[in-house]
Amino acid sequence: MLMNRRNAVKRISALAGGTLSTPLIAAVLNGCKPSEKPDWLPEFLTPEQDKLVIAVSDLIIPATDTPGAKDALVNRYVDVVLKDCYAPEDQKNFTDGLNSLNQSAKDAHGNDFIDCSKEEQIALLKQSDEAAYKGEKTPGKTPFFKQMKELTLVGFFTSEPGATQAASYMPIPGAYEGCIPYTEEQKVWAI
Amino acid sequence: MNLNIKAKDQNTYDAIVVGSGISGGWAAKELTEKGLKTLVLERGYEIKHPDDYGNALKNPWDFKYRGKVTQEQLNSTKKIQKRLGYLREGIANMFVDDSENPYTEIKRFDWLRGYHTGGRSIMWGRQSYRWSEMDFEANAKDGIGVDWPVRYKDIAPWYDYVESFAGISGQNEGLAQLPDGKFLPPMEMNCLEKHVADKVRENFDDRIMTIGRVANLTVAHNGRNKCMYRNLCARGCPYGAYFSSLSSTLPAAAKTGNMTMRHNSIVNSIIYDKESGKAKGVRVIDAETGEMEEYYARIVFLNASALGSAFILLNSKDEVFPEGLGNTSGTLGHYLMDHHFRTGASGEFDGFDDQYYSGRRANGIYIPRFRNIKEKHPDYIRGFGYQGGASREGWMRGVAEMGFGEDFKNEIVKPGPWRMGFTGFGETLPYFENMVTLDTENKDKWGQPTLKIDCEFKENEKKMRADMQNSAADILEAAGFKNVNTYDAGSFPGQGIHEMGTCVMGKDKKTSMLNKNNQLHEVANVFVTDGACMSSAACQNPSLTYMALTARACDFAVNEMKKNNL
Repeated sequence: MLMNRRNAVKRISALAGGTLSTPLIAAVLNGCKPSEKPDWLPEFLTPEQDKLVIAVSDLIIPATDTPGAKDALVNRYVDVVLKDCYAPEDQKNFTDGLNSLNQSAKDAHGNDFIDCSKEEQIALLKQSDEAAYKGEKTPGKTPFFKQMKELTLVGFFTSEPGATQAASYMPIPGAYEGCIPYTEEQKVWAI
Repeated sequence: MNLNIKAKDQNTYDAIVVGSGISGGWAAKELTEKGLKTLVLERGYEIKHPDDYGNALKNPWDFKYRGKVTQEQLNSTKKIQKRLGYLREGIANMFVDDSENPYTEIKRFDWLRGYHTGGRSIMWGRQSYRWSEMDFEANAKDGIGVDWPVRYKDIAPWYDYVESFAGISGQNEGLAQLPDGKFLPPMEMNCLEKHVADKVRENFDDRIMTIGRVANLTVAHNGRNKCMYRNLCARGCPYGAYFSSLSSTLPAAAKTGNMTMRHNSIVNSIIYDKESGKAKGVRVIDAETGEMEEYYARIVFLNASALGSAFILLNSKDEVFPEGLGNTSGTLGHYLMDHHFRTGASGEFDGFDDQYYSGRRANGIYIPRFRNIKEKHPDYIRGFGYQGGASREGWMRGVAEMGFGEDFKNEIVKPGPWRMGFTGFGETLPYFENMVTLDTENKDKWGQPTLKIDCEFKENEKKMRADMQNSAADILEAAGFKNVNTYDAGSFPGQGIHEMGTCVMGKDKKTSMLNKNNQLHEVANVFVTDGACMSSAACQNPSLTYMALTARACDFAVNEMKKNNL
């Protein structure tokens, strides 16, 4: 569980009767974990697959004048949902799709997907996109790239940066107005 | 069980109410306000309003799975509920653990329950419609099921009474088939809905479209706050802005000082006293310890939900009533009903590109029943109403379409085209053979029998469903929609969460369980005022009618007690 650091300082101060040494405050503010350890690791995907998810999600929703999928840490959402919410056959479909995308990159360019140029990556994704939306459909099976897009869009628009900056979010609207003029500056409601 | 006199006194009340959901909450309020010391027995755990609505104020990103439920949940505690797709992270916890609450399905029946303070009044859809004279007369006119022993004029003042307390927002329309009520100001329609409402009036003589009548407050009411338009009602409302037992009736009951509420109290059966010919109390199993205890009262109100109340009566057997309490008629458990739905149409609309809306309206539109009112439909009897709404497509449309990258993102962060959809809610006829029985072979974790449900929709419902699709498409086409698609997602009893019947009201004790005051014909101090009492299902959402019948029966019961008739 994340503890708000300011609260952590307050709590420790309270425990120590308000007298805390400067080094101890610094240690709390810097977090108590060794700094070289990453604060997050994928639990379902391999680190390589995770990097691929970061790259692909950020190609689907890139940063523009608003944050993109990478900024919104969509990969973390993808990993936890795959792990806990996907049925085994859907998990396999997804990881097979990821591996096959990387294989296509190797076949075409001799590189892993993440080491391809942006133009090469976009061309590869266009093929995946076509296959997912125009290719033959298997009943009960969602094509990989459609899975990837759903995970990316849901992960992005339900994240704080996605909902509040790319889209528009009012936690407590307080009123309902059925007809208001729409202007170009108005963004889609996040929910 | 041997209880000494002191213990018996401690466990003795004027009234016992079984269940704290929509109708139980009303019974608690009415009986305590009329001065009765009342014990309210809730089989589930305690939820405190508003402190225990832990998910109510969360943002989407505060949920680990952003609304999805886990495979582990689906395959353990939600094995039945997963068939439906209602489950969402943040709400799934409000529905029971299927594995702990087993029942047998002779035919598919999706039984969705909430065992906690207020029952399903936390998660209900809040649509609140009166029944009309036509609904109360229907069984007699068609010669089907059991004739209601009451008519609209008997219930109308009680609709006024419960609407005034609960706070229902809506628009009076002057329709015979959907009587007007005591409404708070209606919610607003959006631009496309207003357009469709106009086109319905222009193109059809027999139907209108109105804003949903909903138990959400459009203005502050009886000390409760107005709706904040978050549309997250089922998580529990910290503003108390919609009617639930927790926000409304139970606080009123508590205020009298006459209510004792006991949680984790599973009513196993009613104790019948042969000498007086009355019930003297109930047997209660403590859900946590498994111990059984008896509680006594002069009157018992069963408000455990249609199937829950049927269970208690079926399980209350002795030599006088070997087939269940008050069941000489042999009708207990029969005439089980639910609304059939999940069919209708939707379409796209070109226009209003320069219009949007603000706020999340916890309500839709309603097209009241228009079939078999003046002209007789050739294929089926009774009718259906439509619920639905219009909106602009959101970012999710990006999943259904090809594309990715900057242009794609810039497109889906704008509101998409307008769409509108209608879902029909149809009346199911009261069939004697649609029923629930006691299953003494399969026991629950407390060693009690369970229920065996044998219920299906039949020909009249199937024929109605074809019209529910086609008429929805007619309306959309008349209103200028394109790409109109009809759908039938299939409907099984239970899914509407409008279980009704099993202990129906009627004039004759040979053919029904309850009289016109919701008393068991044969055991005068037992009242059943939840969905079990309904003699027919109409097509309107039923909770408002349970409220009215409950308040009316409480008034009758207390008057009878004053006259020493009970």
